[in-house]
Amino acid sequence: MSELLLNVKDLRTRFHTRDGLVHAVNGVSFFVKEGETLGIVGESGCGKSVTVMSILRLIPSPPGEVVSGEALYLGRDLLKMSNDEIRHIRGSQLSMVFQDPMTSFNPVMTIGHQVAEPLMAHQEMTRKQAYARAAELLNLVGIPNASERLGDYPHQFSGGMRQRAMIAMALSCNPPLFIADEPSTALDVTIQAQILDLVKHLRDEFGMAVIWITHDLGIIAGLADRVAVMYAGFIIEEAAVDDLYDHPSHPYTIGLLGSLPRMDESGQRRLTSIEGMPPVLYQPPTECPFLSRCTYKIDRCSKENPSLMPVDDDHRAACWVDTTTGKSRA
Amino acid sequence: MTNQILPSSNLLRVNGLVKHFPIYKGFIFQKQVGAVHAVDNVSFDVKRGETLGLVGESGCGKSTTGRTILQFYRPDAGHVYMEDVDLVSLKGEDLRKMRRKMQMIFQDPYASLNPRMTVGEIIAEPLLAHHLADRKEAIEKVGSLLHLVGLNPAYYHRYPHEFSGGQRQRVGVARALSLEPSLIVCDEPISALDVSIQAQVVNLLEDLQAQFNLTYIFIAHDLSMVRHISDRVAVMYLGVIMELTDREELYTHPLHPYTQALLSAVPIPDPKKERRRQRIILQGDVPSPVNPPSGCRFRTRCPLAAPICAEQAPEFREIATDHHVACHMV
Amino acid sequence: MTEQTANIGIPVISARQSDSPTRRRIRAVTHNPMAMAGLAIIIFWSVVAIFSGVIAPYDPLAQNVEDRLAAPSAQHLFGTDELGRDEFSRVIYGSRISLPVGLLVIVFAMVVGSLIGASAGYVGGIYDLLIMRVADITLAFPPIVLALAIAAVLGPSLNNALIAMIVVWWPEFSRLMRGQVLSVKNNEYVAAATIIGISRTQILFKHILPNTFAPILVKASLDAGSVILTIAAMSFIGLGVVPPTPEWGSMVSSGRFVFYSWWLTTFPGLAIMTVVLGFNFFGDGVRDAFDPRMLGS
Repeated sequence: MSELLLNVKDLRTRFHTRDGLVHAVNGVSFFVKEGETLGIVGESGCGKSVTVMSILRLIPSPPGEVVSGEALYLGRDLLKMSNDEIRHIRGSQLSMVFQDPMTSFNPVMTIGHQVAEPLMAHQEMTRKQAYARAAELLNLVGIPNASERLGDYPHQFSGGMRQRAMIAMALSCNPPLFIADEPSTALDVTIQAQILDLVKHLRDEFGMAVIWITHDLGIIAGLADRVAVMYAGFIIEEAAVDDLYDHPSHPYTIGLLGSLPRMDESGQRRLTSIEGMPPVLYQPPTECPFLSRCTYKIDRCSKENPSLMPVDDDHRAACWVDTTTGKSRA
Repeated sequence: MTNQILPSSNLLRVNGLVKHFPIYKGFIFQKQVGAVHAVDNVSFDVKRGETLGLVGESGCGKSTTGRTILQFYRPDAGHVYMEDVDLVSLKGEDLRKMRRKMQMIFQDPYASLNPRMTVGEIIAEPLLAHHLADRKEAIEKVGSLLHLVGLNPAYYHRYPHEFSGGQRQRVGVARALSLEPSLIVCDEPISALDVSIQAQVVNLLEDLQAQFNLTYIFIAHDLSMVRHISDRVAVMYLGVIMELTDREELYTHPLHPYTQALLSAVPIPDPKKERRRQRIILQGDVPSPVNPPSGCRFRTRCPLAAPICAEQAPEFREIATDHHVACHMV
Repeated sequence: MTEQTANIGIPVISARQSDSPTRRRIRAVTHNPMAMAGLAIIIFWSVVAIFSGVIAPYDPLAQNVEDRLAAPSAQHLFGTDELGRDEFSRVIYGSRISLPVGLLVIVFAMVVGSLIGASAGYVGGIYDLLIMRVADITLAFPPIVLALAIAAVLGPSLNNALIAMIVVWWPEFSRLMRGQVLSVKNNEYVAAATIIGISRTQILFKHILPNTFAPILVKASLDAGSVILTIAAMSFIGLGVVPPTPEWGSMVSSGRFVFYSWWLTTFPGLAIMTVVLGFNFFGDGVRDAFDPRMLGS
């Protein structure tokens, strides 16, 4: 059993909006072990990005507010650290890659400078050493003629190259935990395949733990060891990757998998769609947040919001109904 | 090319379609310095009642092809025969009248609806513009169209911003249907929607096709969805069709090296299959369509590239029955 | 990394969904205290202008040489000027010039400028190029200098001052409108209208123009104050309203020769200030109401 790297407990984040208080993350708990890849899956607005942003203390406040919870990184609570400490941790221990590779770079600074900067800040390298290492890193992520392109500005890189450079930047200090928030969504499939290939390769080589946030169940299937499915700010199912795809237990996960057309499937199966839309929570729900879209619902679902319950070894789902039998879970 | 009599099963025939967008430089005396080769010599037929999938990565010209077929962009060369009428030769009022027969569903359900018009006005507008109904009839027709696409007819007086993305896309579908067209070009109609909503819209499109014998050109980059919805599929790369054949044939026996790489890059939501899969990782990025490579446009990334590929553009040949490929190596 | 924080998709769905964008904007203005204060000032001065005859205790042109340069008193609230005219009545009547003139100039500049700009943006080509170069040349001069030059050539009169102001102001509206049309023209819903088979003129009037007005209206309400100020400045120099007509700018101007009679510059000056502030407050409110963030999604 490898060591626990990150342990998040009962995280709650809210946003004050013009229309009232929105409960974006509602008591989320999960952990990541050393060298493990956790996939967090969910649709837009489900709170998956807000969850990791909260952990990394990147929620703008106001309007955001992390109300409660712990995020223990190697036993130390990230949420209670001073600003200087968390900044240091973000640069050297937990690094993050975002969806939009264009806005993640400062357009008026060279790529070389931006990759070298954390090395100078966190690893006390000289300018020359840092640039040499930056060239190495860019080379590692597959940018041709890396040392000649250090002087390029972000707009001179293509989308795929910018995303690679982002990864290079994130990896510059050999972080034990790498967090990726839909980094391949804006990219074409062939470029996405390049990026996924690169991340798998780097993960295996350096033994990094990875948190990969996406809406794409296909990507997660090929990448993750464990998966957490999020809906309306709750983790509604959590399981080892094979188990989740073979025996999805929560009606939402079942619906999501059924609504996906598959490349490896011939014939015209009708897609099972999930009717309705995810709710925006202005109040903490007293019922199951999936209730209105659920086809398995029983009386209890409208009275009590289920928390995660064991389904199997290492497999938990937040549902009152045993979806294999359709009967109530005791 | 002369105006031929077409076999009655072909609704649309595209022949040698070319669309270049000129690039100008200069302040007062502008001169053309180049052109984006968006669509280059594209030909295909679409049978009545079928769905032709048009896939490719961003910038491959698939959307431009769709818009050029609809004469939103006027082509630089080639012909588009819709029910034996060459749309390219039509102008002004004649073309406007033909627009009744061919409609479009747009990618972005937020941008494609005028924010200052109510949903009812948006759907009624085409009816009134083509004098197919007076105001009173139009209101009734809109009600039944809203019902048809699964929206409450009472939404007539609501504005687009009051709806979710999926609902707005249904409004877009209702607008396209109002003219009772034979052909609908679906330009990435689901790529802006969440996974669980995508299935709703795709199911709706399939139901409507069955009900009204509609013909679709389904433009998308999501290869799994294209496999699900299409009868035949054309794969585009840098403005050229690389392969065109039946769905099953394309997905089980892809012949063009680009198609093979593209298909292998798509993640499958099945962890066991994902682990076994061998990906063909293409190197580098798609070249600029301003300066496409000589000969075969795919040769700069092609694993099979040979000297002839740089010299000569491969002919788009029928290799097996109804299986067309543009490659020297096949 | 801090700029990343803006990337989180916070779902913002309004609780009050069934309103049209226009109604929500009006509500945004009416719920903005500053904008309402501005509107109150504008309404106040409009009422004063309409009922000048009732409010003013004296004829603004009636001279009374014995009472000249009298300090403010119960009899003459704002004192009297060098010809013994009642300053309070003159300030009241002055509103009849400043407010309508400001509105007239703004409305004309807005209509003319927007039409020219919209046609340039929609038609494009050489026509667009010519129009925009003319606008650029006009904009190259500081507005007050150009307005003074034109007024000086045409001769001092209120009409000529108005013409000069409109000539100076239209290009700003043209440029703004042209930019608006160019950006709205590229919207998908305009493409959709074309594909549906809507005619070009209908597309312009139904799909493009209604979506271009927001910034034009904002600019108009923000500029009204500046126009009133400019008119006052022109009158101050002697190229606007000619004496003896009471106009705030010219009143300030004539008051500066009688240094110790502070009331002659102070009260018309305050009048100018309040009107300009009123329009600016209101203009700010309108601008905020058209800010897309006000609309949620």
